[in-house]
Amino acid sequence: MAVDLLNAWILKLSTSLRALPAVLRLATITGAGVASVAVPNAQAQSPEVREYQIKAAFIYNFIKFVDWPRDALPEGSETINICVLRDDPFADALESIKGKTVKSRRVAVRRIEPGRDLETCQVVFIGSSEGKRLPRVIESLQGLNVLTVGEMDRFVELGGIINFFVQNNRVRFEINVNSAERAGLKLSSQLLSLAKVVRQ
Amino acid sequence: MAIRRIGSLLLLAILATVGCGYTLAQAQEPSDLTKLTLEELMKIDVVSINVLATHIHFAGQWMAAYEYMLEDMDGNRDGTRRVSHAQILQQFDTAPTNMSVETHMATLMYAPTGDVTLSAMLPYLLKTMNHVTRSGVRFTEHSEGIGDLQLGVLGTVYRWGRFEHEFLLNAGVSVPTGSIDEKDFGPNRTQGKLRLEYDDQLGSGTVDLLPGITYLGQSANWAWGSEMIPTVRLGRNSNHYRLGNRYRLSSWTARKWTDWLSMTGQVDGQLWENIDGADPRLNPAAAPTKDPNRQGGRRIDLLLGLNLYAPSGILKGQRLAVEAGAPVYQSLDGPALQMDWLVRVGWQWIF
Repeated sequence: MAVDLLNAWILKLSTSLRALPAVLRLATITGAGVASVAVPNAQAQSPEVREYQIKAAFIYNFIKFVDWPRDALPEGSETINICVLRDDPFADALESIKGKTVKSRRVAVRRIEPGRDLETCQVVFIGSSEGKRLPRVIESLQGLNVLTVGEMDRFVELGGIINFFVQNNRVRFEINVNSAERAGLKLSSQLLSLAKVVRQ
Repeated sequence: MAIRRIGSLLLLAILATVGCGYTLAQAQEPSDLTKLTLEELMKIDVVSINVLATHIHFAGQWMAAYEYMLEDMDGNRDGTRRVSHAQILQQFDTAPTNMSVETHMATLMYAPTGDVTLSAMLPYLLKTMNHVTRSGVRFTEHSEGIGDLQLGVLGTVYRWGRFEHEFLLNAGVSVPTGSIDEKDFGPNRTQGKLRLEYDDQLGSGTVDLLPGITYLGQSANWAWGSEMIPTVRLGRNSNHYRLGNRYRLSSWTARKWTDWLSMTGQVDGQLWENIDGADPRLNPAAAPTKDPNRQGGRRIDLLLGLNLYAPSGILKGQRLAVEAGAPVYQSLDGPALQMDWLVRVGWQWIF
């Protein structure tokens, strides 16, 4: 019954359209559905914005699975500081985790320059713009209990702890467990089970 | 008629499925991604295949698609000038009055890598052409069956950013699976079924090359693109002719309104050449549709459409597209039937 109705509708559409003036024809066959559509604009994201929103959520989750030495994260401290070195690729993406509570502390986000205030950071994100300066940046972090997170080739080989990469359109991460040990951080086995583990 | 019923049934099922299932598709990922666990974050696509309908396939993905297209031709044209049946009948015994072409197109695509997509497309065609003779007799010719199988490889040659701009090369071949021996009754049924004219045949009868280049671009709310895919015919078919080469240039844009709805606009320009050679069973003096030198033309179509897409839920990956258009310019090496309007309804499922 419905099929017959649809067949009849196609036939009727064909006949009706022939009867219309050419100018009105195009408007009729396309306009009916289109003109009446008045829907709000979607809160769309470009692929790059979306990628950094995903990475920001990853960083938030990493904090749950990392234990800092008591000196680096004293009991009673109010914030966990995520520091972004120099050029910030996250734009507003880190705003989504700013102020949230993890490990009973509020997440704070700070933009910093190399060599300055690093000791106040629990997490330092090093973007790909720092690629050439990476060895110096890693060197400046030696002796500090800082979780370094990057997104560039050879990041973990050069001493970084967690590196993001995109594989098959999904964000993945690799971890240098030796770098984590050198920084005095304990990583949970659950975190390691999801990562590509590098020992160096 | 059976295939029309099947096509309509399928179309109805798609409309019903998308309509009823839309609500289910609203179960989307949370806007606050920190609510997700690490395992859940690892399942999120960075570049989501979306309602903008750009051609992005990731490694290992399949796409199944079905498209119904109805093209309506009504009246004749010689060059850009309209000509009446009476004018045609001053020169020929028979004049075509109108024609409809229904296409049921099945497509299967597979991406073995992120940069290469393989495709196979098989059409089922239903063609109906009405005629009038000099003595006033009206008759209808009909042909129906599978058309030519198209096999293709689509490869990304340049990509900027995360799919913001992409250039692709197409390499395709059309295999002559469609009949070029279709017959039907003419105005005098006592003559039995006669070979149908070139336009009523279902295939080219030749192996055709489909090389092409495609550009795709997209931003958060817009997608746009352009594509040039000529059809280059090789040799002559078993009925001693070769259809004219066809050159097609399309440009389109899509505007996203919500995660599940976008609107599209397309300008489609085509140029097709006359036939080389001739089928000896067709008398070119009897009707313009049987004259190999009256088959070429040029046309520019303007099309508008809507895309519905299920970004999540049980219908995730499914897309319904409705598009309709009409020529804004056409010039035919006629007299020949002019395109009046066309409608496309397509369904895609990426999995």
